[in-house]
Amino acid sequence: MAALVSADYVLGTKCTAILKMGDINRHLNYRHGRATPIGAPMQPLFTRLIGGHGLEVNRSTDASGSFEQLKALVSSDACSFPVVGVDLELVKDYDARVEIRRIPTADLPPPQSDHAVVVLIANDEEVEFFDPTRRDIKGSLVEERVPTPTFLARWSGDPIVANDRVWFTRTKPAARQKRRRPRPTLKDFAVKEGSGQP
Amino acid sequence: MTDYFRATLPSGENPGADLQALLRDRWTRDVVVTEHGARDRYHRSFEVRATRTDMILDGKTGGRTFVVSHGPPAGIIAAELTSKGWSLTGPPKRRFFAEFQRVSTDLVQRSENVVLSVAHEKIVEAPLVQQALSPIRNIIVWLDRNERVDLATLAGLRKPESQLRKYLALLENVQYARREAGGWVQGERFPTGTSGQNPKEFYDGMLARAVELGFSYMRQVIGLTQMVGYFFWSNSYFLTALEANKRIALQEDDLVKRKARYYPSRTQTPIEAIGQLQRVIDTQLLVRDDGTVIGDPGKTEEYLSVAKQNGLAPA
Repeated sequence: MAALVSADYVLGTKCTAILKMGDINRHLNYRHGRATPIGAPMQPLFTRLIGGHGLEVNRSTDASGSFEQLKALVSSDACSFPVVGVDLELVKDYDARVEIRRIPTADLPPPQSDHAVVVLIANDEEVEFFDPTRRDIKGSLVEERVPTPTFLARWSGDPIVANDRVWFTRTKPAARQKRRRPRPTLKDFAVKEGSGQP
Repeated sequence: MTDYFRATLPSGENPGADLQALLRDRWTRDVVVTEHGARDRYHRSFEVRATRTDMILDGKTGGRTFVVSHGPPAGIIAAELTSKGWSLTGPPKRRFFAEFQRVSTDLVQRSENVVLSVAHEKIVEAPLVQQALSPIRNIIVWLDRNERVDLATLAGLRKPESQLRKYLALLENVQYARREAGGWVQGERFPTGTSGQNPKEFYDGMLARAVELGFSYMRQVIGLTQMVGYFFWSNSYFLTALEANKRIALQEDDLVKRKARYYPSRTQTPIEAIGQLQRVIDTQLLVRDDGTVIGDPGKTEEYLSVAKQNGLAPA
């Protein structure tokens, strides 16, 4: 949802004004509390849904030049901010109060989990992002940042899919070609995000 | 709709890893595939299980606890090496997902039993529960005073005979009553020597035991549904504490969302939800603390201890 919010702001679409969280979850095959399949954003069920709102999904897991592409995506006016899959351990890199409990099961390696964040700024020093699960105790959302080497270790080390990134572009030309790119504020994410699920 | 899973993978050395990648891409990221057995180098089998990640937000500090766990095996996929690669067959996707869901439901139900064992005394204190249990309480009081009861006497409760028989079946089940010569007398577990006790405590203690041992019967046969909401809210809090492995303060809207997840078929309007939650708070099993909801310290510790003894773990 956070990525679609950013798409609406950057590309001038109105996806999140029309679609509800439940619609999006259903089209991403989110069921019984289980995470969506990796391939769900590229499946016709979802691409048709957002195609109807003037958006196209793009995804890459290519490792070569991945960070350069991420930097380009973040600063481009032609696409949304990218959603990236990262190792869940990233949350401990920027929030020391986080506890990750991995419940062991005999004869199995510790259970792994990935996480998703929306990257807002990426440069060679640091990466700033929005984590939908992070709120202060008053319910406000917070921007987070980590040093770039830390981010890259968690991104390339995502236990499910390394270097995964998904972003939206427009399928139809925007009504106004030369729009100044408005940057979504955290308040915008708070309004649209609702449940706080990634 | 196909009633089986079928796929073909390249004839690599590690079909398990390839199968896991395939299922994560098509079914859900929350699966893990492990080797189950190998008859020979051409025939292998793999167990599929769910992994689950839950995030619990401490309503007071804003601290987050992520709990990551494996479920038990949900099914087996067989692999046979053919000229085209690894040919996979197994149960259909929906059966795996039903099994993932069953494991979650099973945890909720097992936790309900633990909540009953540690909180039954609190549960019977709730005015709503007292009201629902009033006929059963009246039968207990009558048996205590008169040592014997029959259907003619019970007609005074103004309930249908079928319902009266259900109450008596419950009391027989917890051994507070037994049949004897056309009526019912005190059962083996009917407490004796009440003179030194506060009558309210005495009868509430008996009711609490009846709730602990006969809750399913009360809910499903007698139809005492008034107690159910109270119970579901309590269990939703304690399950969250189990996942966090500690007594944790929850923001009220977080508890509402978690209850909806543990009991998805019990949709409630906000006004119903807030009313039911307040009934749990009225008995101080849960308390309001600085804008959050938190469990009674003693009961939460007891719940966590009994849950661990019973092998309950997040799934």
